[in-house]
Amino acid sequence: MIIDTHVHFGPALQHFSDDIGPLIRLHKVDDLLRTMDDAGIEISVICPPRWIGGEFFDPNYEQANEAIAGACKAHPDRLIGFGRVNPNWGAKAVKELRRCLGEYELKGFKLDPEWDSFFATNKGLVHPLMDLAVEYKVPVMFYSGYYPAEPALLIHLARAYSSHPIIMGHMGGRLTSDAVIAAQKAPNLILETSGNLYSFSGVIKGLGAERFIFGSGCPFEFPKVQLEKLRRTPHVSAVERIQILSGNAAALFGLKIRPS
Amino acid sequence: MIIDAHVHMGPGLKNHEEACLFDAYTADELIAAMDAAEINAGLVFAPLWQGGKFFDPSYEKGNEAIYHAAKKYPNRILAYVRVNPNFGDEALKELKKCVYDYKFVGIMMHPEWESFAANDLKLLGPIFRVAEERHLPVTFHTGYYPTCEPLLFLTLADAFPTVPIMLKHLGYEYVRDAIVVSQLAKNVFLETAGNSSSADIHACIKQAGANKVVFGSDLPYISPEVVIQKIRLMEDVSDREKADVLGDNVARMHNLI
Repeated sequence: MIIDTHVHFGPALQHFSDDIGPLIRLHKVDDLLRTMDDAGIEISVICPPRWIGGEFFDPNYEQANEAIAGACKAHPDRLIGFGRVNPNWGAKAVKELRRCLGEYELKGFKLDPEWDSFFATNKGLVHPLMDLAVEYKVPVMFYSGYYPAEPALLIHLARAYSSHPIIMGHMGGRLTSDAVIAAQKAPNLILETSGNLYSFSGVIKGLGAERFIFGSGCPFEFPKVQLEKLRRTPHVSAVERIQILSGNAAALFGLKIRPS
Repeated sequence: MIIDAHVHMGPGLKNHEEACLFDAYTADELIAAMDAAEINAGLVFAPLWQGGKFFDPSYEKGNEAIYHAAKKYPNRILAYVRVNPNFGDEALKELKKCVYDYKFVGIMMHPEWESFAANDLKLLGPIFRVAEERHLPVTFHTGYYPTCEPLLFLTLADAFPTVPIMLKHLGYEYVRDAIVVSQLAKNVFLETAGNSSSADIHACIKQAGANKVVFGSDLPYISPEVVIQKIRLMEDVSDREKADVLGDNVARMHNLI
């Protein structure tokens, strides 16, 4: 079984006005399921893509979250929903996140320091959201990459919530070495594999396969390509592969998985 | 026809074995890897020299290995000479030996690793005059300030408009800048390398044009099949355009078609 922990879905994709855009048309939930089937992915964790202005107005991701909830209600066996808010919206962000985790029963949320412009070290903005994660017992994913989303800034946060799983989306982007160091300093950091690293062998050996979960970044990357990259990674055992492709994520979301 | 515009081969790889996904120390090993990925030909150059037991700061040994490999597989291995321009006259001597005596067909340089700025016309002028005279493409590592962010290459491209310049890695995180530079300069091509996301490659094809984007993998640090798949899976890029990117653009650069 394969669980893809990083998939973007929702109305922002239909109005995507940036000139580096989606590769796969994911306008309807059926498009998403077809893409998953095509790559052999059984379960996807879906989250709202970046809101980038234009005709579609959704700066605090409220419409986006509603769409995630709708898709997950229709296909609870295939989709796990993550909410998203902009921490700069303060009390409004907290309120929207409570709606996501309470009313919508979403299983986690994603925050993006780079796009939504905040620092993971900003306790005033971030801790109230983390406290909701603790209250609802759900994991949190942070986009990671360059400043202001570099892995170093997740260390204090991860230590402040040391018994809570925090996913480093894209495992630092190109700052792989930073991602590994941060993960060594904070055992509750989980690295999501999407990104553009050449080879995973060294980092998997260094940290242990239990620290990684497979993610594609779909529809901005082809899930098939990301799976192929992992498949072609030398020095990864069959057991480690299963851990990364599904086992670790299943444990994170409390899923029972049938042996494959 | 698939031509990989970014291939490393030679003894220098021994210095960073742990980063290699498979062996490409010898011509035979490289050809086996290319066969497995159905790659017809590659632009082949020495990997970066990073100290250790193997001492080759001026890339003479690295170039020598490429020379013998290209002699053995003339249709598969297109030899690119690698030099460190900071070596001045010595670099020019090595370049001329490879171009005039060994008949290398292109030049590769790495501003970040070899620590020179890509817009340093004083340093690069003599090398580019050889490229101009012999109609040789020049391929560069690209990436970050202060040596090789995409915009720096516009100065070079404007100064030597007949020399095809390939920007490896699509400018790394500066893909938008790389697109602009390619749009402004007829002779600037964008080379994918292994790090580029499918969305970045797609944006380059759509905005700079399929005739300006070239497939390159950076093997043996990555499986070239993965990079080829990124291009092949694109639904709104025609087969003609995919063929251009996967090999025909480079083939035209070298008068192979």
